[in-house]
Amino acid sequence: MNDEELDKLFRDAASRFQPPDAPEGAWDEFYKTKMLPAEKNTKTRRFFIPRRSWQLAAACLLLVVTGLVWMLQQRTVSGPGEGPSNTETTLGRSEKAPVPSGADQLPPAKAPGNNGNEDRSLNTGQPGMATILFEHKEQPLANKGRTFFDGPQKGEIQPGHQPADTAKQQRPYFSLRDKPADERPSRPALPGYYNPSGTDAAPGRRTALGQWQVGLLAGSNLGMVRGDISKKPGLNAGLLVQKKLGGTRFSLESGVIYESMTYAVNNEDFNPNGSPVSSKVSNIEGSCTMIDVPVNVRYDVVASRKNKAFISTGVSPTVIVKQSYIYDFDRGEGPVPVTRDVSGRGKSVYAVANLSVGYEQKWEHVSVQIAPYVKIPMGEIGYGNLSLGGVGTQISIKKDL
Amino acid sequence: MVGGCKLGIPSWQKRLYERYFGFALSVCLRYTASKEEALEITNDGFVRVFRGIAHFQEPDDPELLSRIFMGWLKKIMIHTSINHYQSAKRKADRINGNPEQLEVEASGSPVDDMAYLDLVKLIQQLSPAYRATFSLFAIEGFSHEEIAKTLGISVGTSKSNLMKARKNLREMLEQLNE
Repeated sequence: MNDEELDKLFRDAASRFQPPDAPEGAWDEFYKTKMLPAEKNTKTRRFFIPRRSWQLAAACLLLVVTGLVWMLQQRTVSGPGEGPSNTETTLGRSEKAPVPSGADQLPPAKAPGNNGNEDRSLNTGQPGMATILFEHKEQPLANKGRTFFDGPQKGEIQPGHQPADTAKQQRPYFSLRDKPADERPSRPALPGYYNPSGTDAAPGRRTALGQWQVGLLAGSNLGMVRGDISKKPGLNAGLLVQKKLGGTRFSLESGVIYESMTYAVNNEDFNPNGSPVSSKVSNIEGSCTMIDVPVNVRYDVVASRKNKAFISTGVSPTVIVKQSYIYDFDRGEGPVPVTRDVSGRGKSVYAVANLSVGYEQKWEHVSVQIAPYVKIPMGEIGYGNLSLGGVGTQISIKKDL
Repeated sequence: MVGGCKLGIPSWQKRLYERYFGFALSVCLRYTASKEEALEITNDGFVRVFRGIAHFQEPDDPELLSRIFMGWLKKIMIHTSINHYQSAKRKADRINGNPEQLEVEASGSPVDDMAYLDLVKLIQQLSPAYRATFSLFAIEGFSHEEIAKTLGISVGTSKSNLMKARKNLREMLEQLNE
């Protein structure tokens, strides 16, 4: 029998074959085991927010928080001495604005080219208007034959004027805040007075602003795969650094955290190398150890001297260090447990979005905080391409620097 | 029936399933090692059929509908079988130990009178790679280039698999004739 005859034998047999009818109950079995789970799975996936949307939502949240922090920072850094909304600057010596005790000795206002010849003391009869004008114009000049607010021509050196080396030097000193810190008269801090540099603080004392904190944290977590939370707890431990952002209620938190996690996986969620897992595999349970570097923005909702309540959000780049799976594999003789170490297989770096609320209690320079959290995966990771997140609680002990 | 299935009406889906079940199973049998495995793949294939039937283009001529639908169904069953074969191959690479081959008893009927199911039993005794290559080439009429593309192998491997599959089948047929 040659090749062609052999092929023809099988081909003809196939073409002659009269397919049998479906056996009794085949449809019911098919509908129950295949169609219903498929429909249920589709509905579940529809209700679950797609991963891409989670990523976008987390990115937007981070953007908004960052923008908010930046705006508050800008307001803080520019200080109450600049900007028309500030009562002290625009109204001169307003009764509402606190006035430093050294205001009576305020030096005469300087303008580029003026050299102090033209005194514009804030203590003169109408200081407010001059201050407003000078505050809102870029480079006011002394009257040298031009209109008062004409800027100098490019490259022009004005007689009697020493060109300023820096913008700082060009700036007129209409307010104490415009002066370099070393030229300001010493004075005690007044209520409501804000000093971003903290230079008025006594040497050796900790400042209430611009504070750093370092600490240790430990806690427990539960792995979460597509919303299914594991029953077996894992552990996390690490170092924490916190920096208060100016005089605001915002802080920046970061650190390095070692996490171990255990989680159960459904077959349909487990896609090693992008392929579905065999139906002969069941009871998949994964465990992994990871290192993550959280970068969170924290806002103190309640902030008193002794205790704080806060919310915190951010992202954690995460690296899987070790991963392994235990599952049952049925080779036709009943399920047999199989353990496999799959460290280094699949994608090992991903990011999670962090959300947490917490409470902090402070004693002197040490504080303890407890913060329940949820970690939302922003991608898939590991050998099984899992959307692996988690919930848990972290307890931290921190010390002021 | 196709229209009812496009609307997702279970009663029409049931009719279509029962009408084409045997045909689909006969296709899948050529790519699997056992009837149970073929049944599993057939059902997986029908899930794909019901999900994708909205994309099925019905011909203008109603007399052609059955033939064209069977061609479409056959294509889905072949692809489902090949996916299953490839998944099993990857799994065999991953998991310690080779997947066991289910032994199938060949019938003792003379070759000329052998029914399709008996011949299928011989095909099922081939290794998965030989089985897929032989079925695609000899029964479905694929070229080596198409087989190579479908199975993700080289054209040379396809030719080699076909040659070895034929050799094994000849030996089995000779044993039956003795």
